[in-house]
Amino acid sequence: MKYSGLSLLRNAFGSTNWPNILPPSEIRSTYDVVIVGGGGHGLATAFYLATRHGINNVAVLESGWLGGGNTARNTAIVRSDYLLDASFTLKNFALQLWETLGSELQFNLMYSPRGYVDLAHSDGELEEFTLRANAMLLRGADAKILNPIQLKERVPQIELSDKARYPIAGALVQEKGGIVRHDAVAWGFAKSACETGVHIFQHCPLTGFALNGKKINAVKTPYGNINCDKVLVSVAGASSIIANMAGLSLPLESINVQAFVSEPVKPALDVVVNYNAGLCYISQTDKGEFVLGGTSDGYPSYAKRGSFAKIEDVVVRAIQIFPFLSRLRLMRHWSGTADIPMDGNAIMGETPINNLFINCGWGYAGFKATPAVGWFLAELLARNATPNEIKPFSLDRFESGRLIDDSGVGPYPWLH
Amino acid sequence: MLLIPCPWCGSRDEREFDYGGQHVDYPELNQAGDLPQDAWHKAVHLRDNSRGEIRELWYHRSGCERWISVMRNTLTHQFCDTSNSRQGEGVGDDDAA
Repeated sequence: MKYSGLSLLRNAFGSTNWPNILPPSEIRSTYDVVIVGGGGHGLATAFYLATRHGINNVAVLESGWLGGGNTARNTAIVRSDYLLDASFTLKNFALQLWETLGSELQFNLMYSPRGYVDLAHSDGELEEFTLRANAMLLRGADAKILNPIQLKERVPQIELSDKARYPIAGALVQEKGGIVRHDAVAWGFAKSACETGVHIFQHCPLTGFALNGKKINAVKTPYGNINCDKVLVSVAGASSIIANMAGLSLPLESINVQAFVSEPVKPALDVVVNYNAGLCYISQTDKGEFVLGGTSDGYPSYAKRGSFAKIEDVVVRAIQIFPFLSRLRLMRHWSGTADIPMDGNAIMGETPINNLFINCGWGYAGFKATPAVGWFLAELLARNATPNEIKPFSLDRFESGRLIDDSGVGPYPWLH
Repeated sequence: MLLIPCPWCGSRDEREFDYGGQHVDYPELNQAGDLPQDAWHKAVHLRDNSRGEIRELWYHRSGCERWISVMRNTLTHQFCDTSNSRQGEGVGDDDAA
C-alpha cells in the first residue's frame, strides 16, 4: 500500500488494518533471477531490477530474517571520502541516492546528513587528507579541511589538548556524510520490491547448487529446488561458504567486527567523528545512545562474538576525543561477520560460472554503498554486461594484479 | 577473549600476540624454474576461509617472540591439536620477525 497522510488518518481513527510489508508468497518453480542473501545489497538489487529494468520474476532468499545481518549490525554511517576513483565513484553515487531514497521507497530512512569528521593526527596525515579532499572536490563532492581552531568551532566537544597521546592536527569534513537508519533500508527496499511482484523468503537458506558444467540450473533450498536463469550471491560474511558450494574459492577471509552503544543521554554530539590513530568512529543516535565501532577483531572468525580487548581498544580512543564519554556505561554490544578481501575492496561481477554473479568482500564498509550496489548489479543482471562503475571490482582482478588497495596494506585481510 | 596456547609460554591473552594469517605450505613455490601464474595467485590470494578448524600462525610479540602454529575453530574459538606446534614447518627462531 502507499503510505500517505490519508492512510495514516484512516488507520489512526478507523480500523487499524496495516497490511503486511511482506505479503506471504508461494515459491514458484522458476525465476528469472534468484538473489541469495536478503541484506541491503540483495534487496536493493531486487528493487532496481523490478523498477528500472522491468524484471520482477525475482526471488530473494534470506537464511535469517530481514535486517538481522550486517545491514543492521553496522554503525549506519554514510560518506564518500575516498581517494581512488573506483571507490569514490560508487560511494558518491550512493550518497546522491540516499538523499531521495526515503521518498522513493515510501519508507522513512531517516537520512541525516549531519557531517562526517575525519581526524588527522599529524601534519603529514593532514596533507594526505588534503590530497583526498582536493580529489573529492575535483569530482564534485563536498569536502573541507579544518585546522584545529576551525575544528573546535565545528565540533566544540572535541578534546584538542597537546597532552593527548595522539594530538589532533586537523580534520577532513564531508557535510553530506552522516547517518541512515539501517534496518529501515532493508525493510524499505523489501517493501517496495514486494509491491512490484518480487518474492522474498525469510528463513530460507541456500543448501546447494544444481550445477551442469559451467551453468547453474537450479538452487537448492529446504523447500525444494528453484530453477533460475541467473543467480546473484550477496551474502557478506558467508560468501566463502556459499561460493564453495559452487566449487569456487574466494580471495577473502571472514572476520568479526564489533560495535556497541552507551546508555542514552541528552543530545551532546551532532556529527559523526572518526578517530584515525587506531580506529574509533562515534555518533549519537536520536535515542541518545553513543554508537561506537573500531577495526575488525583481527583474525578470522564466524563466532559473531568478539574479544574484550577490542572493546577496550575502541573505548580508550573514544575517551581521547571526548573525555566526557568516560562517565557513560556501555549498554548493548553486538558483532557481525565481515568478508574482507586481500586488497580490502569489494568484489562485484561475473564468476567462472556463466550464470552466477557475486557481490562480496565489502568487509565493514558496505552499508554506505547499498543503493549504488543494487543499482549497478541490477544493470549487470538485466543487460548481461558489466557497468563501467563496477568493472574495477571484478573477481579476476586478483589473478591479473589490478588490485584496488585504498589503504596500501597488502594481502592481509585482518589488517584492512 | 582468546587464550592462545603458546607451546613455549603456556596459555596467554590474545593481546600478547600478533596475527600472522593462515598457515599454509606451498612446496611448489620452492621449486626451481618458472611457475604458472595460477600457483602464485593461489598462494597469495586464495584461502579456505573455513567455518571450522584452520591452522594459523601467531607471533608472540609480548612473550617469547616466536612464531607459533596452532589449530583454531573459527566458529567456536576453541584451540585444538597444539601438540605438534613446536615442529611446525617454517616456524622457529629464524622466522621471528
